[in-house]
Amino acid sequence: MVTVVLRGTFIPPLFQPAWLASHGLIRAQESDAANVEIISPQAAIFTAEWLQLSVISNRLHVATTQESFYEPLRDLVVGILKILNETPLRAMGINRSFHYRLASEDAWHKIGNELAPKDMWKAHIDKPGMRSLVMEGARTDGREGYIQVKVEPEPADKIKFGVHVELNDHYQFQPTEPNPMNIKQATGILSECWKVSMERGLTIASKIADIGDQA
Amino acid sequence: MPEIQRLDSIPIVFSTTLDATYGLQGGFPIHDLSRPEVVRSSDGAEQTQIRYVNGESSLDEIKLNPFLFSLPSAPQAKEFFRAIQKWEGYVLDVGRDLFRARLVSIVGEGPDQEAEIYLEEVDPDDQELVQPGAVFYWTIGYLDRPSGRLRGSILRFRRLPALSEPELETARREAEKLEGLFE
Repeated sequence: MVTVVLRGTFIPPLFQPAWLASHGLIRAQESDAANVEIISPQAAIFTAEWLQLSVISNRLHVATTQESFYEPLRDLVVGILKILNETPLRAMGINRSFHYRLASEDAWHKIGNELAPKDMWKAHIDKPGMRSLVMEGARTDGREGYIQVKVEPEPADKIKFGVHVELNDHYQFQPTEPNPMNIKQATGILSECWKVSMERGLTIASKIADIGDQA
Repeated sequence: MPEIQRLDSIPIVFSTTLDATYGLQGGFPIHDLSRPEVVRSSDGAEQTQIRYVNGESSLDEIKLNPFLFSLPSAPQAKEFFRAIQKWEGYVLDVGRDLFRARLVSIVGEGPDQEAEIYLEEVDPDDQELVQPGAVFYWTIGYLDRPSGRLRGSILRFRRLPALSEPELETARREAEKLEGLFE
């Protein structure tokens, strides 16, 4: 799954499937078949086949679970920002989410043991196990923000011996207060950094899953 | 006052402000709403990641926390398209039945290549976008369905809003500048 989250100031009722279609950002058929959950002054939430969109006054969130539509998702956000080119923005996240099913319980434990060694914990709690781990690192591309990776076991009733990896590629705009000038930063990042962000997400998530494969 | 049975079955309505305490007025199901936990990084910066936390309820009111936010639930996929190869394509020229394009690999191995693609491969809604210079995404993979696996391809053209007059003017100036370099 890929999501793009924009923090800023938005007018939720603008974000309707028909509005996106009228600007050519999605197909007319996709707009007609969209499933609208709510369009109100406070929030707009709908799905349109490959797209999930949700917006409130200070956050726009678009997502797709379909790999074929990762780049169209990026183009959609760029398109929205080009139309709403005076929208005050202050931050953006390009996020990826991966689900892995490990071959065995041993492989599954190996990931937790490698990422969160238990020796220190065993003296204090019985049967320590990793429930969630969040690592945060600085950006190396000269931009403001950080990269955060979260690793959690999947609930057993969802995926047995499963691991969920989430990556948050966070860009903090300057100035940090919502500012229309940040639109150019956002579209620039989406155009220039998308591929790197996608590849980094896959590389990190695969590396984590590989720990289990080596069991 | 309606009897409260389950939190997710209580109908409520939006108030004009999102940090209000909501009364039981009927009209909107609470299970459509949730609040993202405010997540902050070590330096206190606001995060662009979302985690969901419900509001609170008591016998006579439901309190939803400062703002409401919910992604629409992703459809439960019974079919899943697994990409084997994905290209970004650039239309070079368009003929009567097919168009020629340069393909750059996004997923999968392989050098850049040129391909001729039948126009009928393109969705009717995208046909008008097939013009020299247009960008498209082409994925080849497997559609896994309960009834069996199908090999398939998805071809989708880039959709961006039309350029504004100032953008066109900037592009023209840039083109003239580049043209000047070749004179």
